[in-house]
Amino acid sequence: MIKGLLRTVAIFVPVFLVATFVTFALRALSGLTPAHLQLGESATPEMVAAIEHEWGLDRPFLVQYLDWFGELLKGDLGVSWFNGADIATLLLQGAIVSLSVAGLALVIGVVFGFGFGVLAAVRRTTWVDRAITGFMTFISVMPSFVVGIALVVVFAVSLGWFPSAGYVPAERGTGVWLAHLVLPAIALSFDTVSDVARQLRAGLVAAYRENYVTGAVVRGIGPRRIFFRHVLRNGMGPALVVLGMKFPNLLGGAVVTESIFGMPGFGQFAADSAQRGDVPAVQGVLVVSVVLVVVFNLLVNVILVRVAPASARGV
Amino acid sequence: MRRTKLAAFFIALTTLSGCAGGAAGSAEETPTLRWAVTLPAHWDPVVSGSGAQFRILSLAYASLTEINEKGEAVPSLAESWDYNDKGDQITFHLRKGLKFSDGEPVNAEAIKSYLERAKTQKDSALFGDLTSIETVTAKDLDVVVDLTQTDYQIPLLLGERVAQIPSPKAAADPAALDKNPVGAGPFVVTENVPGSHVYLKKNPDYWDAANIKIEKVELLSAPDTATIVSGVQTGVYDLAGLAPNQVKAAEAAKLDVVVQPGYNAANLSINVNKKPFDNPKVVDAIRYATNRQEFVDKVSFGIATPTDQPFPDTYLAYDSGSANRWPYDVAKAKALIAEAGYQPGDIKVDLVIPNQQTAAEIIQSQLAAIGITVNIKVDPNWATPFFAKDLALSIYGTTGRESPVQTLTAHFGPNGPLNLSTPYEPEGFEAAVKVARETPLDSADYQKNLQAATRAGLESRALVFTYSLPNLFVKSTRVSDFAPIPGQLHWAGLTVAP
Repeated sequence: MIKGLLRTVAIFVPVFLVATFVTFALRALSGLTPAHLQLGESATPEMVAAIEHEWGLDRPFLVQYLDWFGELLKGDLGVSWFNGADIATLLLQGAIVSLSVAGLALVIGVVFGFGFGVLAAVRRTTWVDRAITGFMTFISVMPSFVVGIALVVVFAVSLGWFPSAGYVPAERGTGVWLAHLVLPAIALSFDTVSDVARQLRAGLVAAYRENYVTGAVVRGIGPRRIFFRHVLRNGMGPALVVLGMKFPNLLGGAVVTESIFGMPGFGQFAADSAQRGDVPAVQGVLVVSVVLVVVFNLLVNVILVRVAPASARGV
Repeated sequence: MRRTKLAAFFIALTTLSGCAGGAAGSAEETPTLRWAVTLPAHWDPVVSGSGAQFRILSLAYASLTEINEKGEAVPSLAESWDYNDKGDQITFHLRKGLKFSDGEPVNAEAIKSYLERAKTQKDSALFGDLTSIETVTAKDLDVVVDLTQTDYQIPLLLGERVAQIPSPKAAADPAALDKNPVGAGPFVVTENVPGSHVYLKKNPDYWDAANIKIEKVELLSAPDTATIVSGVQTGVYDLAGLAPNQVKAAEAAKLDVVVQPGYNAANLSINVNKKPFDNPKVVDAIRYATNRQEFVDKVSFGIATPTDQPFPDTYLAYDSGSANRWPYDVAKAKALIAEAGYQPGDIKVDLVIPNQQTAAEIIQSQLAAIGITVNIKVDPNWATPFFAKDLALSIYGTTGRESPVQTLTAHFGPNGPLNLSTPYEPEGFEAAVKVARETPLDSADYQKNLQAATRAGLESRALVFTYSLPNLFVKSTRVSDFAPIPGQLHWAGLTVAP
């Protein structure tokens, strides 16, 4: 366990250094400056130089990078070129929105992915299995923005069940908060549902074919116990790993979903910042993304070791 | 076990949807306007500058003057103004007893400190607009502005766009003001979360507070253009900007599409200091090769109007005598290219733009028809070479100015930010602009002199204007009609039904 943690940290540090260094280098290469975000039509070359000096962009590249990295270690991500706001604060606000949506999407993904996967595996080769597999293939190819718009048309505009856009913080009532999350979370979850279901079905079907399952059947153990003790524990590994890899996808997919649903989240912030050329904000997004992805993978590893101890041995 | 959990989840979902429906349909207690916008990055008018954000900032700030439906300057913070005989000094008389939302008095000193800050602050986006102003003297409620030249455009110039006045006490810390406005406008910000939302409530101390019928305004970060209409339709928003391709959807949803007049005009910017555009025949060929109707049809879905001048044809400075001077004529354009000594395919130029635009592709195909090869280059850092006048060919769109003279000098003047060919200036333009500037706004000759200045400016080979798109909004029918004031949104009299 501790060894695993150390190994993760050992991988994390160089990845992080390289990733941040490359983004920094990209800024230097792109020549983007905050000047035009501020000056608009008044941007004379002298004014541009003055603004760049103010932001310290005329200093050597390495000095800027080390300076930024030092501040980062203190938890300070600097201020946005676009509106001068503190990036750490903006990211935190955005992350709350995104984690709400991605979290709910993950819950939906796990519940329905596991539900459909198990159902298909238990009823393997029957029409139920075929129907589920077909449906999963169908929803896996639906882009989340198409699903999002369709959901808005049906459940917000026609039926009026859910609000079509916006985000309400949980402080204003859990019901309203959840209601605003449901449609974007469903739109975002399709991919997870289908991938988890398909991986789980494949894993479980393979496990059912194993000798120890046959042995258990021969020994007269009930199907329920066989399923939970032998098949599920050994067959769910791939599905869990897929789930672990889905999390960054959920955050990435949130760019589109948040834009469709007008939610001021992490993805929307990342996309807007990138389009505006707000380099410090993009760097902040990168830092937080790397941290989130690593933490989530760690979490999945821990769960995996718990349910299937064999995975810890790397078998 | 799993089955019961699933069932519980479904039940939770259904109850949720029930209460959400209730929330969306509940009656509004206080009249609230929910406006989906791109939230302004800057709340300091000096930094925010001359883009279109001043429409949003006008919620929090009152300006020195405003514009009426005819585009004339009318009182706002300034009750009246008068010029000296020579026209090089103007005195604004402020309303009595007004105060900013932090309690500071609205007086001449506040206007003076604002104008001086706009002229000198390091990151000011307005200093270029204020070159006519020499000194400002404050005398209690009288602001005396001494000008560097006779200029009757000042009441138009110092309107919503350029003179939204913040409290001088708050402006002492421009960085703080930039994040949180303190003005004397119709509304006061109560909550501001950058990138997410801004809430405002009515300001009882606003000079025209009696006519402000809305109690609260919520600015919400706008969703993708594809879901704006459904957002207004379901009552999440009351008002939002509208992309031309969404107009049909908004009309189909029985929402109000507001076509607010503006001064907007899109152009093809040419640098006559660079080859091959240093040859006037090549520029003339481009003028003849431009089919404006194609821009109208493909960029604006038929909503814009073609224009060959830096404003729409309904505007008082539009010179109908210059209309269609270079009619669409491919044969003539090809002949001119040949006369200039080029074979088809000889000319290859880069069209540098900040982001992917349909207009760029239209230009590419229209110039290809006369044998000019255009390479579209998307450069996110476009602004640096554009404003440093380093590009040969680019496109730009202006939101216009309340002062027509300012619009003209910005495009055709030797220092004009929108003149890609600076210091090039068409012959006779300077003199014509001087005449227009020196003509009082109520003079019978005003329009004639303005149009003469436009005509002189259009001699410029640096700009080919293409189309003018009005400002489009979609609003719910609960919101009353906007006054058709060019370029601005006014809040007086606007109501939101419960």
